[in-house]
Amino acid sequence: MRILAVDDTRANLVLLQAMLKRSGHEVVTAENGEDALQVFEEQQPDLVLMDVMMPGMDGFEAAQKLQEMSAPRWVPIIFISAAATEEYYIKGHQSGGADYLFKPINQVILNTKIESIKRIVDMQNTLHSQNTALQEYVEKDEAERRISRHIMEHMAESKGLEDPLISSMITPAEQFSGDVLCAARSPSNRLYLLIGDAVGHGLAAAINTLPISGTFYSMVYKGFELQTIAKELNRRIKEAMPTGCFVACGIVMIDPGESYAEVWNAGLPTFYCVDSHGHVSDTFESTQLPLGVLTADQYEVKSEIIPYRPGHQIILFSDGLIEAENSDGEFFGIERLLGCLHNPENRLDDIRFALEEFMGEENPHDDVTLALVDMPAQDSSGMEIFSDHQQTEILTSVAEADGLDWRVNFHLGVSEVKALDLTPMILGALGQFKGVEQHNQKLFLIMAELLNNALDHGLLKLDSSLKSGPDAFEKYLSERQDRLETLESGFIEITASKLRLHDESFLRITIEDTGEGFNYETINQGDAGQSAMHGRGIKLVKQLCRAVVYENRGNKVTVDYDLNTVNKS
Amino acid sequence: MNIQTSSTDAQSTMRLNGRFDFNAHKVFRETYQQLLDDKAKAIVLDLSQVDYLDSSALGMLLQFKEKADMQGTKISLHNCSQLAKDVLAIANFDKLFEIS
Repeated sequence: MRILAVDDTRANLVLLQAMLKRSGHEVVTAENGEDALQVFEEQQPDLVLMDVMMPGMDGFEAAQKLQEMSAPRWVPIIFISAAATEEYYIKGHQSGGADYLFKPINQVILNTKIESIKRIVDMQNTLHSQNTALQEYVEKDEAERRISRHIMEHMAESKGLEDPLISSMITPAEQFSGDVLCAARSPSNRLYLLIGDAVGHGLAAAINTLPISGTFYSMVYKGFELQTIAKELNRRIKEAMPTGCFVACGIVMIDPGESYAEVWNAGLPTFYCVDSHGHVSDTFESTQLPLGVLTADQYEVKSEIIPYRPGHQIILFSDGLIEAENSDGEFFGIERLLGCLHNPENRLDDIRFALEEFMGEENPHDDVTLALVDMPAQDSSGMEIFSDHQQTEILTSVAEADGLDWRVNFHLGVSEVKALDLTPMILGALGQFKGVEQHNQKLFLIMAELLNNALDHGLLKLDSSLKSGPDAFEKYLSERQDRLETLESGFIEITASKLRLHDESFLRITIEDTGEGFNYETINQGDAGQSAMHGRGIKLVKQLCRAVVYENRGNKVTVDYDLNTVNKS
Repeated sequence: MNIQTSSTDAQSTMRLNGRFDFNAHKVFRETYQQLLDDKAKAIVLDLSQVDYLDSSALGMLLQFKEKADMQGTKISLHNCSQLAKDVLAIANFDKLFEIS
């Protein structure tokens, strides 16, 4: 140990120094109180041997100053004095001394006292370094949590949840939520809402949900179908997460334009569709394993389709809600939840209030997440994005162009048509060309309408009249599914090119299928009476394009889309 | 949760007792690892005494299954309480495990 010996009598100091050196210690010395403070500061000794009676600053005072200087660290000080009085003994300890030695100094006692002090010093050092490490750990942990929370909050962009059709709540059991809730509109204005519940809660569970929101948003924005999105989510979770980490997940898609809703539930409690009185009209049970259990090729997504039910609401929630346990060990349960639905305007608040009242002082032990999705009676949000569209004259012939910038061609055979989500795929490719992506939303609608026509009415020979009548859309979709599965021949050919005419540039898209076509004369003449048969779809395409032309037997359509106008929506 | 094990030549049984949730992680893993190390041919999980089971339990079951599959040990879940059955059904675990 490094020991500071303080004594105003040089002879004593020399003696002390000799004894300490004999025991293997390193010694530094000072001859009075002021000196001691300075040497202490410079040499940082482990222990101080302090004579009490010194001129000027005495030992007691010097000891007090040393302790003040070193706080919060405690300096072991042993007082040395000739006066073996009770008063000195007490005063020594009160001044922050660890022990007392009386002159003449006995070498054995000195060594014993130093040994015992050394044990305390060692303990103090260990404690100090552990404390420092712990403090560093806590600070690092807090910093990491702060960063993590920031990342989570920004990845889980919640803007989509402000959609007027959605009301929701998400209450984490800890700082981080293992539940995830996201919503977004597709280019064709379909509303998608996803609810996910990762195994466990807290940070580990929150990390599990990370791949979900990014994948969900990007695929919805690109216009992928629910089933394609769900399959991709499963692939991402399975690849990224270790065994045992899975995410129960559900997606609701509302398509006000096509008048149906699609629901998929993989591992979450049953979802409900209820009417304005709170009576259950449809239930959507979990039909599949959660995300991240099966590999991509083992995982088939099965969703359910119901007709658009005006005035109804779909209710989705994680098990944290119905398994919220109060102090009596009771669960909140499904009955209580369904009992809160009488007032369609206030359901979220009613449920929140009922849960709070049920729980009393207790807090739910798991994340509680709930979302209500409206199917409004009036289709208020269906096509309003195009209200600013200028009605221009529809050309019925396509102009010869001055110049060609680029041209791409897709030939899609039966197996491609069966396996691919066509519209987003083709639009994804076109979007790579400069100046196309900003028109994504409108082009998506055009492409989706034309491709659906080519597939449904061309290759699959489905009659539009199948779409009218009660529950027609479900029948239509199931008929479509059957025909698609048994389709054996045919193809769809898509050509897109960027052309220039004078100073204007436009996108020309031609889609040809091997179907039987239809009588397009009336359409080309712009007869409004035809709109009933060919639906809102073609009307929309004509609104968005500057030319729409049918050729051959009606199995080939060419549209020109103006690339100069900036997309305002 | 505590777990009692018993073994015959043909199979080993793990009788789970109490709440099967994240707190049971260590004891559950150590118990099945021991049985797998002892080369059990089949392992039966008796869930009759499980009064609660949550999603972390499902995660642990998946981990267990992965390890067991690797060495060809068969797993089945027996005597599931109604609650256990419900939780397993919601997650569609009947497609992965033999449940009775």
